[in-house]
Amino acid sequence: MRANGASKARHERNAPHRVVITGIGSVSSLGVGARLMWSKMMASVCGIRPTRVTSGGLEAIFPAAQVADYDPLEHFTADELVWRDPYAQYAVVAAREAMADAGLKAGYGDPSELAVILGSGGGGEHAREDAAVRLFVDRKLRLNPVLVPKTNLQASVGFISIEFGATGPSFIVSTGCAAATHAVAQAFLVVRHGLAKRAITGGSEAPVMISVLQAFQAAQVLSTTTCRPFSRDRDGMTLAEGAGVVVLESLESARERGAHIYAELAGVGMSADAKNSVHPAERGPAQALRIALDSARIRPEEVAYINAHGTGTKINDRVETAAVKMAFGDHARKLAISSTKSMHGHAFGGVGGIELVATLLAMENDVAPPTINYLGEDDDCDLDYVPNEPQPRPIGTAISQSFAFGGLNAVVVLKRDIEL
Amino acid sequence: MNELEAIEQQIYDAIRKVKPSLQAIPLAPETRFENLGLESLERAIVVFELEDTYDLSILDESLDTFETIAEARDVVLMLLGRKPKRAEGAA
Repeated sequence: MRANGASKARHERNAPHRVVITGIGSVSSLGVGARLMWSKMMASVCGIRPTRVTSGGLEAIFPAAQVADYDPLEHFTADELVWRDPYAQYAVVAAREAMADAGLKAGYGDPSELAVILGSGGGGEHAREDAAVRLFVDRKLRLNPVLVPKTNLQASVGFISIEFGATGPSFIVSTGCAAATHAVAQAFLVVRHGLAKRAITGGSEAPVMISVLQAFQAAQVLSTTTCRPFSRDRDGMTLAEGAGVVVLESLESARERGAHIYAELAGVGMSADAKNSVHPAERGPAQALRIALDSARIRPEEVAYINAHGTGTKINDRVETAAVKMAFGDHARKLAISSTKSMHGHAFGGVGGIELVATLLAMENDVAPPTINYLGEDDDCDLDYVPNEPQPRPIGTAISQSFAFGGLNAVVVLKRDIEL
Repeated sequence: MNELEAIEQQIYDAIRKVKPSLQAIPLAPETRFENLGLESLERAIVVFELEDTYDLSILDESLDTFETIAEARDVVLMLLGRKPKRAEGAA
């Protein structure tokens, strides 16, 4: 049974509602604002730079992607900044953009019909590292009482729910690099089943600091040069900061408001590899892809573009390529697959949101954003990765996918044309 | 600046660090905390800042009892008077 679109005046709980996206917002190393990010992507701009981080008397320099041209005081009062770590600031800024883009103001409609479901891998990591320095370097036992509300993972959700008066289902999803995409999948389920009419969803992260960089460097997954996904001579990922947030809405709600619809969020897929804590296996992502396509009732041949997880590590890109071949068969060679992480870096639990925004703009413009820093084909990676330059092509159906340590996978399927 | 005034200034600084928007508001010993619009956690942060500055433990004494800046100052002064002198460089 399907909902009857605009004719449905009353919002039914536990009924299948079609879910659409009506607003987008992003904060990244390509700037503050979704369309600014897109214009930089169309110019193949790289937001990754040598970045010096210091803490507790130590310093390190890594290629990383910090948020560009961002002044916190342009977005928050000094009082508010006492409580907001950067990851929460980015989430709020992206949510404001997405809500404004959707034409929704604080207090619109029934507040219990607005959900806030975000992803984050680490929450307020900056405050946490500062506290660690205070404890173990400065050897001071007393900690600032604001530390707990500042570091907890759900702070971003709380600030957004307060700002927009949202009293619907609100929670954080923490599955590392897949957190934002998992969050979008949960928000999809909430709206689809009528638990809320609308949801602010996506994710944010701010991990560019010495403790996180050293930890990932120790795991031997960080690039020493730059992020060049699927390319020969790729040597790892690059950490980034930012947020990507969208507004999900039931189709009938969007139609009632006359809202602009970017695309239908037609289906989602989630899976676990159940193999290894750090090494991905292609069966898990392939399973999530198949489930996502099934739930969207879309044939593999209809997919024109995949915004890949594409971290730039040897193993991720090889396994992701194999997973796409496993799920799509011959069509894997016909679709375009790119990693925009080559431009905005890897903002862990926020990056799925940034990539979802990029995917929606790819559909709006019928242009696949490029995988930049690409040096040439690799033995394990032989698909069309949209090397270095944007590629105009019709994109009516697209996928954004994220995979996390632990072998946890999330996929969302988007469809531009809304059939009744 | 005498010791009393120095402590008052530290309290003003702590309040303005917790709530920077109070930068432009005149503060005085008779200013009541309840009139500054500080939430309970913000008041706890003021106490934390004073504890940090003076290496004191105010928490057990009178977190909720002082109502004015002068009363907070007197608590700090009392605790400083009670504080044992320690060798320089001791942790």
